[in-house]
Amino acid sequence: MDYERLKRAVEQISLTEEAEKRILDLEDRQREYHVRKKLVKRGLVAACTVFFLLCVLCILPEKIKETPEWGITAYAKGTGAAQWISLKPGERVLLELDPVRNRYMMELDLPENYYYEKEIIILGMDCISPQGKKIFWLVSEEEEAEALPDVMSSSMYIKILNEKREEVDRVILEVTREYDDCYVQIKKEEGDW
Amino acid sequence: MQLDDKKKHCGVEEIFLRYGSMLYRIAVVMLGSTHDAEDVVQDTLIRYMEHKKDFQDQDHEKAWLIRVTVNLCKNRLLFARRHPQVEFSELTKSCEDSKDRCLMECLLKLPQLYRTAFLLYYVMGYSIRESAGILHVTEGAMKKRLERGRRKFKEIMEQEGVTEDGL
Repeated sequence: MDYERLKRAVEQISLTEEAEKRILDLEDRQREYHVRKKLVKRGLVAACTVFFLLCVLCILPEKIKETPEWGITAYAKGTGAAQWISLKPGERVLLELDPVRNRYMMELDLPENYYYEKEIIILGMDCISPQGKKIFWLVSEEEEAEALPDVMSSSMYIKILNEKREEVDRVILEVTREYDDCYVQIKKEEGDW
Repeated sequence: MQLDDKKKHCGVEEIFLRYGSMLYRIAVVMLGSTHDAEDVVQDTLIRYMEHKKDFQDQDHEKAWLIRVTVNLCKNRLLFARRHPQVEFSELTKSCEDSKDRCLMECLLKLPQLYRTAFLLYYVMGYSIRESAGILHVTEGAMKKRLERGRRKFKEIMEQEGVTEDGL
C-alpha cells in the first residue's frame, strides 16, 4: 500500500482565505474561552462543595450516634490541684481523696432510666458503692492489707435504658487499686461506642 | 496591556502561518467537519496564548500544538457526542485526483483511534516513538494501532471497491 499517496491526499486539504480570517479573529473566542474556564472552575467548586456536604451529612449522624449521651466526673488529680474531672472513654484517671472524709468520689450524669448491674464492689478491704448518681469508694482504715495483692481491679456495669426499658447503652467503669493509688477508667467495649 | 495583547496576537499569527494548515488538516481528518476543525484550530491558538509555555525548540512547540489539537478533537468527539458527520463532498473536493479522493474517503471511514495514528505516522511523518509520545501511549500500543489501522484500512478499501493497483 502506498501511504505516500495518502499523505499527498491529506496535504491537499487547505484553508480558505475566509477560514483563515475566521480563525484569526480570536477575540470573541478568547472571551468565550475565559467564560467557559470560569464556569468549569465554578462547577468544580460547586461539585466539591456538594461532595463535602454529602460526606458531612453521611458521617455526622454516625458521629452523633457514637457520642455517648452520658458523662462521668470524678474527683481526681488534675493539672496541679485536685478537681472534678470529666472522664473520657479509655482514659485512666488517678483519684484524689475527699479532703473531708476518707473516700473517693465519682458522679454520674446519666439519663433517668439506668441501673447498676452490681450494686457493691469489694476491692480488697475497700468498698465501692453507688448512692443515687454518686459513687463512693470507701477506703478501709484497717491495717490488714498486707496479705492482699498490690494491684486489684474490678468493673462496675451501668446499663442505660430507654422509655421501653430496653438497654440502649452500657457504661463499664473499671476501678483499680495499685498500692495506695486508686484509678478509674471508662472501659471501651467493642460495639458499644 | 493593549501592547501585550498585540504582541500576543503577533506571536499567534506567526504560529498560525507556520502550523495553521497542518493543525487544520489534523482537525479536519479527525472531526470530519471543516467548521469544527476551524473552531479547534482557534481553540489551539488560544491555548497557546494562555499557556505561555517555554518550548525547548520548534519541534517541541510543534509536538505540543499537535497534542493540544488532537486532545481538543477528542474532547469534541467525546463530550459533545459529535460523531463525525463526514461531509465527503466538502472534504474530498479538495482532492483534484479521483484516486486521492477515494483514499481520503477511506481514511475518513477509518475509526478515529487508527485515523489519528495514521495522521501522525504516515501524514506528519513522525516516528512510532514520537507519535506515541504525542498521544501519551506506549510504543507497543502505537504499533498495534498502526497494524490494526492498516488491516481496517484495507478492509474499507475492499468494501469501497478500491484496489491497491487501482491507486
